[in-house]
Amino acid sequence: MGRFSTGDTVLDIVVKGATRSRIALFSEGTEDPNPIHTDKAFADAAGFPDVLQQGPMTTAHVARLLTERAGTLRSLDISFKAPVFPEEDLRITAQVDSVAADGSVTCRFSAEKIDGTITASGIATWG
Amino acid sequence: MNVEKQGVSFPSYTVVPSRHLADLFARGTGVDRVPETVPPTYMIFLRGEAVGVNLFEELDIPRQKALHGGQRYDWVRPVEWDDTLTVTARVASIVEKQGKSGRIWFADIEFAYDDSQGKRVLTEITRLIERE
Repeated sequence: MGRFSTGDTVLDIVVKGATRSRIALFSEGTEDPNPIHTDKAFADAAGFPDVLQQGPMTTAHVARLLTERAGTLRSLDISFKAPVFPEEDLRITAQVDSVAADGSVTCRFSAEKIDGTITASGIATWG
Repeated sequence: MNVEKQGVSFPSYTVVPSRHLADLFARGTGVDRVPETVPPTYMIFLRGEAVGVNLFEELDIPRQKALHGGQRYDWVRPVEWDDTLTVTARVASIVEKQGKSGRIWFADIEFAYDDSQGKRVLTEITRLIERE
């Protein structure tokens, strides 16, 4: 019997919204020069009401949390669905979709704002 | 978007994990402890820009019209602190679609990361979107 079964909840956690300074730190840490994450005037001109949290920050949350819960990942595929702005908390959930005969696990995950807006979703595998 | 770049590979470059950048990466996500291991998604296409693979310039995507559509990682093994990875980026596909308010282009760019023995460590695909 493996550690995970189909339908198991792997993650259900709220990640506190990133402040502007954290978003700027993440840009430094990923060597991302895009001003849309740090310059509100630039974000305004691009049609957004504020700077954007990086999509890869959501990827980093999901990858870290799944790794802590399940171990080394084999793959992670994420689609960004809606922008995330500073201070917006994200609820990250993941459920086991299938467990193969060799023990490898596939899960579906999503990130949503407190108002229910899905900001990202995808599939990850391990095992 | 310059659709003629489909299939183009860019000159390879090397990336060595930096504990300093990994610390900033972790703190940016709200984790206030220094990472003991290289964060799983530390390797990211953006690191190529500092050494010459500027996708926005290469694909002629104005930053204010650009969106990040998604990412895919396939790991063969975790990245280690002492890895020196050779990165080769290739424009895997560019697709044009008609949206409600104009054309939209979707580009998938694949980054292959190989260790000093030439063995694949991971593959990353990043999906860039340009709105007309």
